[in-house]
Amino acid sequence: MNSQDIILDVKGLKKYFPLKSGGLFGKVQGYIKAVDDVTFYVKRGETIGVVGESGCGKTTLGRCISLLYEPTAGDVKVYLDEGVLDVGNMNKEETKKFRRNVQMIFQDPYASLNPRMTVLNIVGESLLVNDVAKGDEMEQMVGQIVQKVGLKVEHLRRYPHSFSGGQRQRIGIARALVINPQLVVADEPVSALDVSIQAQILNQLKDLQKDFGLSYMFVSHNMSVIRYMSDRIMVMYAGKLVEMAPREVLLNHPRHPYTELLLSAVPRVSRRGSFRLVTPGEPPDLLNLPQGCVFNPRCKYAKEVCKEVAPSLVQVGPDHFVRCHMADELTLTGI
Amino acid sequence: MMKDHEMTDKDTANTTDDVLDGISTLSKADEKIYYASQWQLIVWKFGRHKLALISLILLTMMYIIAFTPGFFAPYLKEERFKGYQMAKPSRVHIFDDGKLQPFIYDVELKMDQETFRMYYEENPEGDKYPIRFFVRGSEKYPLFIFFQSDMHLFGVDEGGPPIMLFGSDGLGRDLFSRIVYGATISMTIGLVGVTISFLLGVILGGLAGYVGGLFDAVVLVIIDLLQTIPQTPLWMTLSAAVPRDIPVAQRYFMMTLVLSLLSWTGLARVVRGRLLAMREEDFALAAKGAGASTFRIVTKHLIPGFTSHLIVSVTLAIPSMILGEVALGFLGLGMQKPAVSWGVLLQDAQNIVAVAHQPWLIIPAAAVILVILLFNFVGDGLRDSADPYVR
Repeated sequence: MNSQDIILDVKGLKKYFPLKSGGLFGKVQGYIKAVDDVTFYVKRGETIGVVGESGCGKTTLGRCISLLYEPTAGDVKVYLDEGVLDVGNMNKEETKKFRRNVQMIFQDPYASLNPRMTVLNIVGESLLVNDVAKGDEMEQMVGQIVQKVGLKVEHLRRYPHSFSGGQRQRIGIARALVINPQLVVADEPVSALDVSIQAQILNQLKDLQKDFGLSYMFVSHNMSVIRYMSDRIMVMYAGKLVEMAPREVLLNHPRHPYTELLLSAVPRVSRRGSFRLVTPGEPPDLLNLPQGCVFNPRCKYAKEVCKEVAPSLVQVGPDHFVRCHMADELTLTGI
Repeated sequence: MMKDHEMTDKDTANTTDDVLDGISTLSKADEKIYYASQWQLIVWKFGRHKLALISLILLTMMYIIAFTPGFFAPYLKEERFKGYQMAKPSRVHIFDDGKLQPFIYDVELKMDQETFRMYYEENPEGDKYPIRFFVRGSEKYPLFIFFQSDMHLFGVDEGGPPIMLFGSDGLGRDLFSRIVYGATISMTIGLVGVTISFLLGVILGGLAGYVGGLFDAVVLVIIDLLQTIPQTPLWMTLSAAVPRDIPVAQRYFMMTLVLSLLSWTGLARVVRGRLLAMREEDFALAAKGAGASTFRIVTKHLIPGFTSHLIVSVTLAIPSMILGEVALGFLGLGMQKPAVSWGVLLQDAQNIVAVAHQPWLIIPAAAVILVILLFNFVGDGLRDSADPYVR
């Protein structure tokens, strides 16, 4: 792979949350493997969509990438215009550089804005703490970005409580973009919004991507949104990456049974009758993962080997990776 | 129709979205709310809470009185009136011959035929002594430590009987004046004590919540231990350990320490809990993602997030301190005579015979009840308005 084209390279990323018993001498009773051995990359200027059901670790993955959580293990490299950052061991200066270039958009537009700060201070905070600008200069930069995301300069002195959900999310987007980052992790940026507002925000994000030459890591549980936004799609299940492929390939020719399951759940106008895979079993218990392939209890194609040996991620085509023993044998239905 | 629509769209061509257009057509009142900070919202909401607002005004007035007792009390705290021991409260007549002129009558000494007790009774045939405002007293009293004054808010001319609104005690001292003087100690001991426990609570609770780990566990165990000890017996033990012959100021300080030693635990828990909860809030994470330092996150995002809740806890903690001082004083373990506090004044009302014959001796308890009620009303109002985003 040419390091010129990629901006983020992640190898074997793990995030385990220790489970402690309470009290003064609490012991670690086990780990929740929220993200387990995830390997992927993001190309410059593209959008990679991360999709999966609730609790599959997609948000944790996004937070590890933007370093809001400290990863337990793994090798994360960010290729910026001004050099490579090895995220595992950065000094203070490099951490600052990382924060300037990797930003995050949060899911909940209500919880992610401090109700006690004005729009100016919320959006301008990264400029201030990174010594980029302050005072009038900061106000000017914030004013520019705020207009860019569709708000008005008059809104700068207002507090978040005066905005609707969609407007708040625009503030969140402005906060992420004001410092001119190269990679933006968008964690379900539209799932808390009305459908009509969702489309506006998604289009806005696309426009901004063009204008600023951004790379997006777009996390969502909504396959339609992922399909609309992404160049490539990653499917996660129980903390593991199960399939990663360019959008059309993944949608038309999925190679993992879980991907097929997800795709079958996407509502479509054209098709009448029911082709809807019934999902046996329940979402996985992260504390008590099954032996072998984590998906085997719910997989209708599962064989003996799936219950014993955990499959590894294999490449099955250009940019197409699957974690399934029977990727070559199955013919699965896409959209 | 269609054309009109396009026209208006052009006006806002810069902003690509129609969602935003709603904002510009808001009334002035809405506009004001949009630019209001959280504190302004709290103040507005508190202002709508009539009972709390009135209580706050009354409390403020009482604190003004507590800080300038010499002016509001007609007499000095140790001023004795010979022959007026255990005198009944003076009866104040508001109208004099249809004119608004409050006055008291002269008094005459009488004897109760059953108990052979001497007592004063007003003499409607006697001279009238009008109540005057801003009168000069017999002696100077210190005002705000540095000044001296002999001005009193009200009083009667010399030569007549003293005006004793709440009667007098066994040494012929005016009870009203002594209650006013007692307010200084009784009402401030809660404030000072709460300040100490506030500092302890915020520092220890804050560190426990933010540092976490072993420190958190140790602080929690200490809090649990302190909270298991019954409050009043521990107060009694501690205050019994304070030497009796130390100056009033020192004893006052010791008492605040004794009182706040236990009450910081509640505050520490509040601070710790809020910090733990808010550390995981999205906006705190967002600040971290923006590159803000830990210190900035704590001081700019977390602490402002729960100061309003802290103020509520503090307001509701003051009454229990005031009660603590009164209880200890009543038992003779708190402030000691010659210091004047409501607890000390209530010592006179310890035996049932005294209360039966001189019921006015329990008036200091009414003062205590009033202050505690006012604090609770204010605290309720603050609690309702502390989180302006909850409707």
